[in-house]
Amino acid sequence: MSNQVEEMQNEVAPSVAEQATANTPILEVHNLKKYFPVESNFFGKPTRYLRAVDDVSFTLQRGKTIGIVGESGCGKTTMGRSILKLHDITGGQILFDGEDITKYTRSQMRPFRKRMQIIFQDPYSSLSPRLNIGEIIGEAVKVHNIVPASKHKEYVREIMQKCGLQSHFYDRYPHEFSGGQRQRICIARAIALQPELIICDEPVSALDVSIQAQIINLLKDMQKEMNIAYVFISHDLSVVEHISDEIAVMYLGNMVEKGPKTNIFANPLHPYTQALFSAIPNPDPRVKMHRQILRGDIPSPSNPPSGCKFHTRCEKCMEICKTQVPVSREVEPEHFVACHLYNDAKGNADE
Amino acid sequence: MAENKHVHRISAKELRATAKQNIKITKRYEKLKKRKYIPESEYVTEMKDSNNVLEIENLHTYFFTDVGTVKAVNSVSFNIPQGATVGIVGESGCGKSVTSLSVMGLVQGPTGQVVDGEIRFKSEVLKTDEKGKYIPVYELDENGEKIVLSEKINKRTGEKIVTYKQKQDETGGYIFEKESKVYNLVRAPRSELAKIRGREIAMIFQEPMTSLNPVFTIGQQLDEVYLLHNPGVSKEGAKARTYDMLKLVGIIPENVYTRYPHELSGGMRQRVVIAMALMCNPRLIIGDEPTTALDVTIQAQILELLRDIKTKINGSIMLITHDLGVIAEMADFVVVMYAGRVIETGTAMEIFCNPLHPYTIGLQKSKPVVNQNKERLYSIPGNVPNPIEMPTHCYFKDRCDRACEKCSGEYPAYVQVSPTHTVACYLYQDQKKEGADV
Repeated sequence: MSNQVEEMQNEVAPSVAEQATANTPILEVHNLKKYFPVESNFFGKPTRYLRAVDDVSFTLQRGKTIGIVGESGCGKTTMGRSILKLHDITGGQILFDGEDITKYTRSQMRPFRKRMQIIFQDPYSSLSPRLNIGEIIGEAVKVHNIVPASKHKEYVREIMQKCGLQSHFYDRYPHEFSGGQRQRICIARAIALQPELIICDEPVSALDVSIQAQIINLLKDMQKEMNIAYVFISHDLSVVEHISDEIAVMYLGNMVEKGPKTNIFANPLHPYTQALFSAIPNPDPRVKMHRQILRGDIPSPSNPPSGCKFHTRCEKCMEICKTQVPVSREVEPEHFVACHLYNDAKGNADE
Repeated sequence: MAENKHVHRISAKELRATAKQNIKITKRYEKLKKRKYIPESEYVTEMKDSNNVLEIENLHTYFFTDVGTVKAVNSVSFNIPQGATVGIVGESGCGKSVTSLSVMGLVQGPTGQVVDGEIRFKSEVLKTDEKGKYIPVYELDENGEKIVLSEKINKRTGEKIVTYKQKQDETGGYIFEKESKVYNLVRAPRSELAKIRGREIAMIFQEPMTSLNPVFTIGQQLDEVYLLHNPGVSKEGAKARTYDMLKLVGIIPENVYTRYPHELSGGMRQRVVIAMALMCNPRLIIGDEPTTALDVTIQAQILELLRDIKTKINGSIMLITHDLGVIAEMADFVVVMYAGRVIETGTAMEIFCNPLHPYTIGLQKSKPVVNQNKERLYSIPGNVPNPIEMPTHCYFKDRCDRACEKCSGEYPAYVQVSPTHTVACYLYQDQKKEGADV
């Protein structure tokens, strides 16, 4: 992609080598790419790709939360799974606690598995119906030898209590629980390994409003207690705003805007972010919003538009947008945006 | 920790007994429904207020399952005025979808039955003569006489049969005489319901993928609705109507008419479903979570579309959702439901600016709002009670932080706080007395 990102990368890389201390960010993602082949020629060599994640970079500090927002099909989930290396990665680099895990094999990944966990969107399909709750939560604890075997059961009960599950649920099966409680089980399963990083892939979007609040509070409590870093993927902007320290907005596999929460919400720069934020329904009938309604649908990621991928729906589309891919620029401190509208802003800053 | 009391294991014997009983009960209801001739006096009624399109009174819809009777809708009453949008909010399982299915007569039988109550709907139906035939409207010439198309003589009886030119609308549909009737949809026979469904009341379902047929093209499916409800319409006429409706919902008709549902995106599919609902100019549109499966940007498009259309066709909308933001934006009146009962009704202003029931207040507090920094979200403790074996006291009592002694008593009656605002809670029982004194 751009020189700028490479520069950034060069800057970061030596510093990692120098100080592998507690200051090292728990997760660094550089130019992450994940392409899925959609068409292949006679010899089985792929000829066309679906660019699910295309050049995504961010850094996450310990105990912090980065919120990833975007419409469905923009590659949020693929990105989350790629970070855990549940997919093979097409390009880019993932540094976990300063260590490059991009090329690691399955067995090499094993010690890292207990340090990074995931909570899935659908609590109905992500729990095995044949295991009871104790086994679901305790299985990985046993495999990774988190506690001695004699204290195993005690430990699982303790974790369950922490997540608001009564300890007599130990012998029950997932089908006996409501959606909110199942999500608690998923959280307990992730937390039982004392991870440093949890990818939360839309953990609350399948739940009711009142249950949503319970789960969000639980996630926040756990973060405070165990200093866990979250990558919080969601399409619900109000939830992301509540839980995150930093927010990244994705569109068709690209990260269009990234910055601290307060900056992004107070001053959204990218036209897509602006439209996305103005589309949030406000639960106050007195406020009449000035809506920027986007026309059309999100284009197919297997055949994305040229230049800026958003130009087909953008109100402020210029000629340059149709041909040139915009580069991510730091418009405000820590606030990056990839849009041609702010080409000058960077120039001014340099001068 | 003490063992959970709520867990009630059911023995196989008990299961069999309830199953047997259920069959008895449901058979009785099914028999009533399946009668061939249902006298009109049984289902034609009068509206209480002529401004309303739909009046639901004391509706009870139960599901007779083997583990017990689920009272999905338990004494629900509310009205939908002409040209207004009524929003129904509540958590999943509170009976909002079942209410809408009861209106449409689509509750899954034989387990699900509308046990009691009335749903009155003002409907414009085609008038029939004694023989059950529609009465046509004829086109008249300058002298006010019917235009003769052809004359025939019946050879056997020697009778003269004259056919006159019937009035047609722009799509070629024949016009018949209409009359206004109020139906009680709960008791109406299936044949009558089939005439109302899709023509007078249209429904938009939550998942556009499952409500479109995957083996027919969009055009075929839309045409069918129009052909079915408008006798005499030609295929070209139906196609023209389909094109109009697709344009109305913001789709270029040429692009989708011959396509199959799987070729469209979620937002497009939902537009198609909305177009289908609008085909016959319905007087009431029921939207059962029409935007829940969609992204925020597409949701904004669809909501704007619904608002536009409502003014264009002057219909009413019954909007079911769990998203308070959507309700605040769309609805004129709000009905809050909890565990099968209506707990609070009022105008959107009253519900959002002056919520009274502790559940409504909790629901609003627990939703994170953008640009409102809160360290912790308020969360309503506990869960919705088990729908089987509902308590006799207020269903919300165990989760309520303002519960008092009275709450353990009977289910609270409705308190009229203002002409449009009612709430079912003991906290406001005294207020009513004060109000009455003044």
